[in-house]
Amino acid sequence: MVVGRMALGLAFGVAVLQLTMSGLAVWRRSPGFTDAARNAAIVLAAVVTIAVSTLAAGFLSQDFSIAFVADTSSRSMPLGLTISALWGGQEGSLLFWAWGLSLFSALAAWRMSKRDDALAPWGIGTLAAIALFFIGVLVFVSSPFQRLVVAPVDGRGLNPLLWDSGMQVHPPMLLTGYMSFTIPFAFAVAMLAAGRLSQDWLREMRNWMLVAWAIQGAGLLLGAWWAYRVLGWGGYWGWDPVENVALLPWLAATAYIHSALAQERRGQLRAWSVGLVLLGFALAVFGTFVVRSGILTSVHSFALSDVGPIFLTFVGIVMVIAVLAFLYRLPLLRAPLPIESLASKEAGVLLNNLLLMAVLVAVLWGTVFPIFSELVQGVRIAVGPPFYAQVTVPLLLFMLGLLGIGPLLAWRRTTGRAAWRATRWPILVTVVVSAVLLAVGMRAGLAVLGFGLAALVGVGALLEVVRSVRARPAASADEPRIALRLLGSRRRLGSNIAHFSIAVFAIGIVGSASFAQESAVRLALGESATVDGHTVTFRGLRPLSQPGLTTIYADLDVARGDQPPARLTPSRRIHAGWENQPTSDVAIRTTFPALDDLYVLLDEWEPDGSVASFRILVNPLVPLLWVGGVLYFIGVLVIAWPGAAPRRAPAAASPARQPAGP
Amino acid sequence: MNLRATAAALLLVASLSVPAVLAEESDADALYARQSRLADQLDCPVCQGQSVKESNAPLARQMRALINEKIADGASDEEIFDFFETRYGVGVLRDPPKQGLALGVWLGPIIAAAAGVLAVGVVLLRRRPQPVPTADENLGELEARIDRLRHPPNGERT
Repeated sequence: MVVGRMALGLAFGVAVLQLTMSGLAVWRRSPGFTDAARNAAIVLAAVVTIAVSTLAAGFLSQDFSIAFVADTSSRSMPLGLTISALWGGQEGSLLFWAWGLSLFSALAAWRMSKRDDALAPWGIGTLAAIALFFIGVLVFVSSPFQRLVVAPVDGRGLNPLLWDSGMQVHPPMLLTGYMSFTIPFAFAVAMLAAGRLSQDWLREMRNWMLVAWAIQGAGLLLGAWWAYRVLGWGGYWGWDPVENVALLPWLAATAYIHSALAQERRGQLRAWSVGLVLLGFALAVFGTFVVRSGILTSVHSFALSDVGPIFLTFVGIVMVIAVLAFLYRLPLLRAPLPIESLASKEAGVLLNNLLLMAVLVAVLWGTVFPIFSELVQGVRIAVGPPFYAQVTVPLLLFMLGLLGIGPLLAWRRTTGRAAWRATRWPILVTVVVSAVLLAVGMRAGLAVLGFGLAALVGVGALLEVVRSVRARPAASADEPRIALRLLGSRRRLGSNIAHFSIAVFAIGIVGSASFAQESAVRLALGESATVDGHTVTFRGLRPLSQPGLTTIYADLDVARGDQPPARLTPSRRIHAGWENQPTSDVAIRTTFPALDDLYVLLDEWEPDGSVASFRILVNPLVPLLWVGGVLYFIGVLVIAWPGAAPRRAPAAASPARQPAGP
Repeated sequence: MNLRATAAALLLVASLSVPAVLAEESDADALYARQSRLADQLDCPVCQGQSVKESNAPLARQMRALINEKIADGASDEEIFDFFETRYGVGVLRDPPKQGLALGVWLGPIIAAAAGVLAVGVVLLRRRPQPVPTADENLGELEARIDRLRHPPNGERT
């Protein structure tokens, strides 16, 4: 592990070098130093990659003399899980964070240095400062290569709750998401520091923010999917503090993606957009801090540690600097054109941002309130799902309505008549859908409203796609095909796909939140229970012993009228060394075309296997969440795929040939 | 306005429970439904961020049994929540009461939302709309062009 330690030490040196070169480049205004700083960023990525590889090799060779390896892996863990133990604890996940940052930074530094001599050193320097902090923590405070004096025969292994394929995708995705908010932040800081806005940089910043937004979104969705399959209460989102803080930067990024549109098209909301980039980064580091500090009690509390105060200090210092720079440069960020009318796309964007901020503030406030109340009165007041549901549901419904209408409005201003013509079909469909739902006997007001608004969003997005195809006349006889015309406006197409995914997602949430059925049953061998039309028959228990692990499987036959019968086997795992934490593997069966999930959890059982008790849930429409998630990702990919942006290129080339100086 | 929105939200949430009440249920199912609804509103005191309903900790099991006992004794929801609050403190209630210190958690977002609406309103009103000669061209594109003229990209430097 000498290699790993050396690599980290070297990385620290390289980061210092990168920072110094950036400083010199600013001071001397010499592009040579900028290139040196960029090269340092690339070397840094290589060196941190070596450190990560060394730790991975330690896991693969089961080198339990490394404290971190002994702590998070054991001989009984399968290979795929052993690899993911890399982010199964604080040191490893910080190293993973730093690794991702070094790779993204190298790419960003390379692109920065190609773009703008005056801004690049500031941007590369900011990246260096942040990398320096994380590598510093890894070298001096929380080293993943700490050795044990006596190597144990076997490691402790991961918490059984983490023995799941979700462990291989959710943590790395979310860590990457948190990390990637750094890059747009560096772009923003560079513009604030140099005191100049560059359209080119604004566009590049937006692209990086899109990346962060997509990765964080994917991380959240994978977390929801994992929680649904493993935690055993049938939910995918529990308003747990750690979930909340991961949602916050995503909300800020969502607001930014929309305000950047108004910024790009109309030069409006500039200061606000830059502010959102700063806020997104602050919330991302805050999220990392909350996960790592244990200041809030959470189902994620296996991730506790003591680096919290260092993080808090770091995020505090960074934010003070950023906010001061922001305030100092505020005149630069003033919009040249005012918002003209409330019936316009930009007013819609403003309202969208206002609603997103309201959700953000409510969630943040609810999350930190227990700490606040403890400080003030010494009482830790619990803020649970009922609070979040009551506060955010009306806001989210309002947002759905806006999402259905806003994108159909024109920029600048619209007359009432034109606005009505643009939006009448979706509105009509919404009214019809709601009326039909009421007519067929749906009496949950919230569900009728939710489904109706989801229809509004879905139809609106489809209509937008049709309009964008119609609005682009075929350029020539060679380009008549619809596919090509769609690709011609990729950003518009991508955003419509993303909006449509929100409609799908909303249907899933409304359906599962309003119509889930739940029942707890105690079944003797051969006995049946029926929940919402699904008949479940208990066929017996099957224990299976492996080294270090005992699994109890329950065999169940399930049948439902027209569906073919099937076998479900929920189970409980009891891991050696973790006997007090039996972990459940929920059995889920999705029925088509109803899109119900039959969700069965093995609860308790008699030692002789004659009787067992189960929790049986029927969760309607949950699969739509995963469909919506995939659509969201496709939409963002369509928007962000490299090469989509410029429509202007050739005209610009000739004047740029002139010498730079006066 | 915000209070009204909150009231509307409460109404909406309340209307959710209508189908549950209307549906025909056996006594056991009804008992279980009520027990799990109550348990879901209580924070498991020894667990990390799980409700009494979700948790498998022994204490959570005891608390679920206690809820069942209280229901069998004919206690109201209010009485059951009060019982657990006296036993474990206000921190056991996942739905913070709208009084005392916990009122702060409800007021925070409302005040923030009001401030936001106010700020946006001030910004919109202060800038009186003025006719702008530019038609529909893309302002960002224009600025990008000017920007490129002023600061040529790195590759073009002389």
